[in-house]
Amino acid sequence: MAKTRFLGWNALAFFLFFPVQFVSGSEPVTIKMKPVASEVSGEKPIQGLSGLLGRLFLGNRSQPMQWQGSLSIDGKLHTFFLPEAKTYSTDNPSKQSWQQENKSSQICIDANADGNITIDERWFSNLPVRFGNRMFDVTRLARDGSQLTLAPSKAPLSGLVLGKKCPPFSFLDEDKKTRSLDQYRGKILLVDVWSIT
Amino acid sequence: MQKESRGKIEVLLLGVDQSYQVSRKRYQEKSAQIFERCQINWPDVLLEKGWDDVQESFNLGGYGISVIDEHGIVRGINVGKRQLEKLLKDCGAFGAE
Repeated sequence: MAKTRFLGWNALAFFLFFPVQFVSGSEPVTIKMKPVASEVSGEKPIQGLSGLLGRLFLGNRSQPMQWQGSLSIDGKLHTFFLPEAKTYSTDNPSKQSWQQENKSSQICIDANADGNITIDERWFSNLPVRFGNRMFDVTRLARDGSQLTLAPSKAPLSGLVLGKKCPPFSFLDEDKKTRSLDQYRGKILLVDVWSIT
Repeated sequence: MQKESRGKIEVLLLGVDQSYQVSRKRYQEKSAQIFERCQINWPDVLLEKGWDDVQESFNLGGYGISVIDEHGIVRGINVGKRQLEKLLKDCGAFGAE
């Protein structure tokens, strides 16, 4: 009983300090971000040469979060963060999507609500972002990070999220056979990203 | 592990060499050598956009193995060897037929 009451007060405090935005239908939703209340940090991605050198020589693995927001989708609360940065933007001048080259700001969604942001919980704001089983486009991101607008995306489901369904995929392999997720139903599939180089 | 699973485990290789300007010919030659040496016969895909494809399709930015269970649910992302063995056991990969 006492535990229930304690959780109730915590939830009330959370909602007072971090107003939750609810998404229903296809309307964009603007979220006012709040400064992160307690220390939250995430695994720092390696971006560019400076990032690589920082990891190698400084062991620079952690990145604090600066802004926090909440979004309720289909009855589930999603807490997300913006990592510490001087300015924020959805622009990606490099035109390349992958982590090493993508210059757009990242949105970190604590998908498993463990208070720790791992690399796979980081999404680039110039690409569709996955909340649960729905995709959103970041249509606006304030330069200071205090506000962002999410619009339901027409993009297909993408991105891996622990405990959620794998997005459909279809690739042509080197034997010219199509490899799609549907073919692996009933099997355990290991997707191995590799290179010969 | 794949043999122990009696056909329950499948592997799909996604090659990102296009991001490193490796030609398809070079990739096929080298990958064939590796497969022969390791005695594996896994389907492999040389992704047209390399890392960009991996980022856009799976939101992954690095090498590693991700585990999808028999129902299409993501059970592990970029897992290490020990975690992989545990995950496969949890997924029932080595259970009785």
